[in-house]
Amino acid sequence: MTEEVRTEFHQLMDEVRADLVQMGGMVAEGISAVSAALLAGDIGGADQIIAADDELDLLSLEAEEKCVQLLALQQPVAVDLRTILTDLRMISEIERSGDLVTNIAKAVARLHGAELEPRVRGLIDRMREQAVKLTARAMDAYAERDAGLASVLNDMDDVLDDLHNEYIVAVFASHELGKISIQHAVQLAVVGRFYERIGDHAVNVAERVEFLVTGELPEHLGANRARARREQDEM
Amino acid sequence: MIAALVAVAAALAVALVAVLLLVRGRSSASERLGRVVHRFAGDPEAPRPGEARLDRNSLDDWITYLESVATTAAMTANLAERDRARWQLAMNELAVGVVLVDEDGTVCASNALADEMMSARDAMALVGAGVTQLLESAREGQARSRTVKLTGPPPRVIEISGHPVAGDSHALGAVAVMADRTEGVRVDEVRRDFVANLSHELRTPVGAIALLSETLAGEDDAAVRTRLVDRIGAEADRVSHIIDDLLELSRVELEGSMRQESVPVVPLLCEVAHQYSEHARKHDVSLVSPDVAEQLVLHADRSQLLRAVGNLVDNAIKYSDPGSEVHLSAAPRALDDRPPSEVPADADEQAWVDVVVADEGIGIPADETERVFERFYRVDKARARATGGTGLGLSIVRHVVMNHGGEVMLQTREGVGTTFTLRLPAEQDRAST
Repeated sequence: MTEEVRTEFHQLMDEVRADLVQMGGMVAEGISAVSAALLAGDIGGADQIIAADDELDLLSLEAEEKCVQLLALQQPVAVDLRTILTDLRMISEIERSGDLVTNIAKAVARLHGAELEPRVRGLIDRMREQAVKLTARAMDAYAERDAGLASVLNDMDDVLDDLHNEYIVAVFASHELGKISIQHAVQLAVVGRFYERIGDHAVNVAERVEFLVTGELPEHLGANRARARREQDEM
Repeated sequence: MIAALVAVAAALAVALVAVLLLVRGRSSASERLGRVVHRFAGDPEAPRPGEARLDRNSLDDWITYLESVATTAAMTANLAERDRARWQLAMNELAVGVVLVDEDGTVCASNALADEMMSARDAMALVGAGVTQLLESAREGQARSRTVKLTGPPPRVIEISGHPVAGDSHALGAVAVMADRTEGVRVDEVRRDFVANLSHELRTPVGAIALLSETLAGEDDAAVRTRLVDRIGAEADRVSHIIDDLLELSRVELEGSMRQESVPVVPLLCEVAHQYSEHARKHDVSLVSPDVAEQLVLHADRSQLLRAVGNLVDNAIKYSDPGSEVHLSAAPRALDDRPPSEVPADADEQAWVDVVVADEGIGIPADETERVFERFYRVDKARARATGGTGLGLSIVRHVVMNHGGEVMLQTREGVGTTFTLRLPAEQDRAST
């Protein structure tokens, strides 16, 4: 590569990185906004959030195109190749988180008229807090190429999982007491699942960052075991 | 850039001396050398090629001259460096974020606030992305601005704008400004809501009284009349409560804390607990009285404090579920958060006492915590009126604490409970012993 081509190449890679950070910001804001709409029963606000997902989709397509362009025209190797592959995977992870935000927004209308108990509301707020934190830290890990931060994400996700379990119990306890209908309880349980999944996507992002920095994925351990078993079977 | 200039200057100087040594004795080389040195020094008197106006002919003279040129260059560089540092520090003092890019879009200057906003990876990353876009269109000559609203909590409203930076004939780059408008937007909202809420709070009972008395006039049934009269009485009580609270609030606002006296904490809390014991029993809430071992003494206005702590206890009881507890406590707190044992018994170091009222009630939604201290602001309008509050209790609390130079802190989670902490000044004599 000539010097000029290389600069252009890295400029495009930086652009993808900026796009991804922006997408992460959109998801973080989306989680906050959808939680506010959910707690306020604000269907109009939820509709706006559903509409805003188009922008995230557009941005993710654009970023993907840039990645394809980089792969096709520059044939990068080593760390550059790993970066672009990571970026491609990240785009779909973040885009998926955005879809989950949309799913929560869609549930707002279905939950119309449900009187949420303070305990359930408090748990939604805590899941919101934790999901935003996970998303922001995952993006931090990515933007700073911080594999150490990436490994912290797993522990943070455990907190979200615990909150999710506590929340499910609280939702059905609220139903038992006759505060909410079974339809609303199921809808709320599904919403809790969406928060929990957002956390999982953040952990996936962090694992990709670990791969980017170290070249290792947690799946490699399992894959190595499977490979060893396969070789043994063949012998 | 300045550092590079100095390096070039130094290299040039060394090269000059080398050349000088080589060409020593040859007058034409000496002339050329003289021209170079003059040019290097930015001397307007520098002779142009062919002009043999040279007054320094010996090697020693040239070296001396070169030294002075080098010194001046170093001083200029030093001044420029200080100038740059001064600008940077001044920019860091600005209440807005500023980013300056050159014509290629490379950042050449930014202040601390901008760096903080641009490196965010949470929802604030949207500000960074917006600024990048605005800078791009500004480099193409388009000045634009946009408002970014972040839900939070806490909610933020950031106004961002991009402006082209152009010389007389050509573009030199672009500058972006990020201004936090959150406070302004909030104040507008508070003002708007206050007028609406005040008229609503006063009009509702007055309107009810008018309607009830109209009904009363045409009513013959004695039982119904009694009920209507009771309702009129209740509504009148509500108006009178609101007026009492409004007067109390304006009194607290106007007079500040006039009667500063020694107020022992334990008797104060006990008095509040006693005052509200009946109220607590009615709601089936147990009021856990202070268990403060230390002899804490506040320097404060006792009647104002009674009112403030009382309002908090009243709220805590009202928003608690039957069977739960409300805790009253107090603890010494040093201004800088060090444990009291590590704080030197310095006379002018203000010591503080935290008075804490904690409940296990319904809590306050996270996006409302900043607004509950506003006058007439209610989280849940239906419930709040049913419990008979005036919507002024927390405003009074905040003003009382402000009068004492302290602060109110609020920790809450829906369904878990709420803890209010009043940080109030301790009596100085006692604090240092």
